[in-house]
Amino acid sequence: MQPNAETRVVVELVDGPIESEPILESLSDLDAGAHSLFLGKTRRRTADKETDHLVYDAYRPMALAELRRLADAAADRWQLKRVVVIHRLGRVDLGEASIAIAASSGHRREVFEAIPWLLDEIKSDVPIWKQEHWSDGLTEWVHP
Amino acid sequence: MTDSQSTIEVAMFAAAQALVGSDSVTLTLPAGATAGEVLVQLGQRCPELQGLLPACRLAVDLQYVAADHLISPGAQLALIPPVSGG
Repeated sequence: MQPNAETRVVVELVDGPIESEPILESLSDLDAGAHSLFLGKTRRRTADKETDHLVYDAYRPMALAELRRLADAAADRWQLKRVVVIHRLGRVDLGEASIAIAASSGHRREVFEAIPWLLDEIKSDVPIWKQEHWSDGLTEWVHP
Repeated sequence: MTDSQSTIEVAMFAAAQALVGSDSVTLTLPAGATAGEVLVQLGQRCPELQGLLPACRLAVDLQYVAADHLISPGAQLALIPPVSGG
């Protein structure tokens, strides 16, 4: 990830762990008083079932295009200084992050609104799929 | 196949890929075929997809399209099952 002063929006699909520190650093902007980072991590329990790990697959070129479209839309709508969206693919173990959404803006309200909007839109439209690998050895593609 | 037909590959992902056992399905389309007709033909060609198809969308050249979208020869098609990222 190599954001610079001209890069307001960064979107990536990665095959390894998501590191928080570089994301937070990339939000820096002297006019941004509000910096916020959301991490979606693999949860152990879903109702009465236990997850062993998750596997994510994607239609990569379209997923990147959709992530870019949504991040640009959020940047414009809330006048964000910086937006970063990173989604991990492949195996994601318990407690590890599958997605990071981060934003900075002049004031807190903009990032507090933009991040949940981005997450909802990603879950609705970006061609990325989650496969549950349950602790009993069964697997299933999640269909919300 | 005649001049008024073209073969086209539809990329398969996730549950759709598991059901058909392949990462793509090749269809023969008449000239002027629409996205809706691609979905109908997929259901006929791959009956195992029938249960999933009503929840799927078709993407053409990396964008979701409506049922009346005309498919051009050489277009990049993908069947998109319900997404579950995040």
